[in-house]
Amino acid sequence: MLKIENLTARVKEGPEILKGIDLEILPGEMHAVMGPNGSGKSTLSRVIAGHPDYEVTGGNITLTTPDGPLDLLELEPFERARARIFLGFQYPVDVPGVSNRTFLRAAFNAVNRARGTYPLDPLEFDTLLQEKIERLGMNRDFIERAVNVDFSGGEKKRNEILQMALLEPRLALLDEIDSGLDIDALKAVADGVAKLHTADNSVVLITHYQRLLDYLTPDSVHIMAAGRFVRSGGSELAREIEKRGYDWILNKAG
Amino acid sequence: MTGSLTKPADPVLEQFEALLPEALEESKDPAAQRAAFEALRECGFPHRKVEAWKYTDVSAAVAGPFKRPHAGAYGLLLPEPVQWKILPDLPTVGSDQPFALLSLALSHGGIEVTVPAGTVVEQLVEIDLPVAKANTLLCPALSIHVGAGSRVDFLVRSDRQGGSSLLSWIAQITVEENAAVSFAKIRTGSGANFCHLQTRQAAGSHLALFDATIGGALTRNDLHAVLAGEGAELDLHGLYAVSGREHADNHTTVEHAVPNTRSRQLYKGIIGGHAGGVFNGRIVVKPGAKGTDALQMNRNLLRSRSAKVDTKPQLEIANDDVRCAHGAAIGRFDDAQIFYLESRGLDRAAAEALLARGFAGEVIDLVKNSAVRETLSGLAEEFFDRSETETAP
Ligand SMILES: Nc1ncnc2c1ncn2[C@@H]1O[C@H](COP(=O)(O)OP(=O)(O)OP(=O)(O)O)[C@@H](O)[C@H]1O
Ligand SMILES: [Mg+2]
Repeated sequence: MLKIENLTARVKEGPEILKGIDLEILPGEMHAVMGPNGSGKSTLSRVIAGHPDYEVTGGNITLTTPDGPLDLLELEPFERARARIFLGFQYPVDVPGVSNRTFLRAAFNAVNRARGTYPLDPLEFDTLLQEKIERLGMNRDFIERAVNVDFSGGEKKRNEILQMALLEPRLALLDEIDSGLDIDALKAVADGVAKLHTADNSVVLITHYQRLLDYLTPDSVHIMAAGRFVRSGGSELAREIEKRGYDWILNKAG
Repeated sequence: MTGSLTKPADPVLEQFEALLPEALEESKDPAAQRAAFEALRECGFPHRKVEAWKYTDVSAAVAGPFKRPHAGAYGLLLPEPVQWKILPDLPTVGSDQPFALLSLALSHGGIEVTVPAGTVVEQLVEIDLPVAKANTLLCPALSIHVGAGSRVDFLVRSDRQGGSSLLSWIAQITVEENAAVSFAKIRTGSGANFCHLQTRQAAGSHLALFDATIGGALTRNDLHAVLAGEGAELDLHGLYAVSGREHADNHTTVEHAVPNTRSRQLYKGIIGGHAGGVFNGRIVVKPGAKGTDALQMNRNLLRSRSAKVDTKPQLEIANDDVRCAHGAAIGRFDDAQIFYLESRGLDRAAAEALLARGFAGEVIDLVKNSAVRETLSGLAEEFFDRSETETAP
């Protein structure tokens, strides 16, 4: 699905943040990336999505699609989205004046037009939206509201999951999708991700907490520190971190 | 009557003067119109050294030549018990208002619409100005009077204006005690459109005014709102959306004349291509007007490098028991928002278009009357579709 080889990246005209990342994710796999604040987790997800603040200084990112491999670094952010990479934001962005419905339909049609599906008119789209909302057990009222404006933390994260449900990514990068959620919201979000995760797509969870992994069991866990993966293992690694913190790994690695 | 002795002949003034006899022929008060023309001669058409016209060049708009055919009909949708009649007297305007003076001098007459006291008008009152066809001059007038305690919504439209036309109109709204009025005026079409609007509110009244300029070669809206009775409240919202080489200029004066009045003002400008926008807002608080509460905000979105906006909020406060605030912002597209939308599959142009629509949507959403709101949304949508095909590579 995704192959990252010796990826290095820096903030444009700034310091190097990713210092050589290797990662291979197979279809149907779920990976977790953990690590201390500032270690580069969000940067990694944003570089995969093509954020313009960063400059890739070395390495490759290749996405496998039914039409063959795609060199992601050659693609604009919107082209990556149309190649069905989805970034769930750590801090979803407010878009004042644009209703969530309008936004979701624009995104849906943009991604699906690229897939060759005929764009849905507002009525057809509403039917689909209704179905997704019900499936995720979400409240319908915030569809009318402006995108993320005055949404609670939990609503923002659920809105990210709703977008994921609509866009049906082959690769979802979910950056702290569990932060700021109460226990019911966490369950709902985890449940949403579990429902959307199939044998044909892959999920990367960036998280600080084992509690998300109580609901979602990753195939691999990677520990990131100072721009590198310092340790990778199975889901037991996350439990170990929960108990012992990062120090024991960092000390060993350092 | 053939040019002044003290001033050199002005070809612009002369071509309007040539239209004066036919205007006077159909006039009910030729003396007043003649006086208005002399006042216009005295003040002259503005050039950019005149402070109030610093950012708006009217020379192309008045160049003409213009024909002055009889005015077409007003389109009126007046639910019971709203009344109308031919405007009996022409309004008075300041001697420093060239386009209002022009409108008086070459007046096509006007209409007066009255809402009796103590009535609630559920249905929207709709008034379409006569249409100014290409290369013509049109000077209509509108006077609205809402009686005490009444509630009513108005939509006034100036549409389908032809190219190289000049429409200069005068409107006034009087809101009596405790009346609640919403009034939206929408200008679309091309040519040059000058509107001189005066409002006057009595005690306890509420006026929600929306001034929309959607396209058009040149638009100048002069608004003078007077809060003349205690407890009067004004919500003033505006949207100006221009592209290509269009230009929209809003000058507002909100005058708090008595104690304990309140005004809220938000104007938003969306300027693309090589277009220009101007906002000049004055809040005037008279010496006795204690307890005034006034807010004014102007926000602008520049959609291109060559788009330009000049914004100037002004406060003139003559006592210290007031709460006044104002601000202005000029922005371009926000990078974080653009990336968020791009990461959802929208290309740059689509992302910008959605953000611009949202920017307009924020002020349109403040319109309470749903029919008016939908009309505005539809027109904004057409504007964006039009201006995108224009800017598409
Ligand atoms: N656009 C940027 N401009 C400047 N510095 C940046 C930028 N993006 C990331 N950084 C810096 O790069 C480092 C890694 O940041 P990143 O957000 O990737 O960390 P993180 O692992 O996601 O942290 P957290 O757990 O707190 O979310 C930090 O030192 C951060 O300040
Ligand atoms: Mg982060």
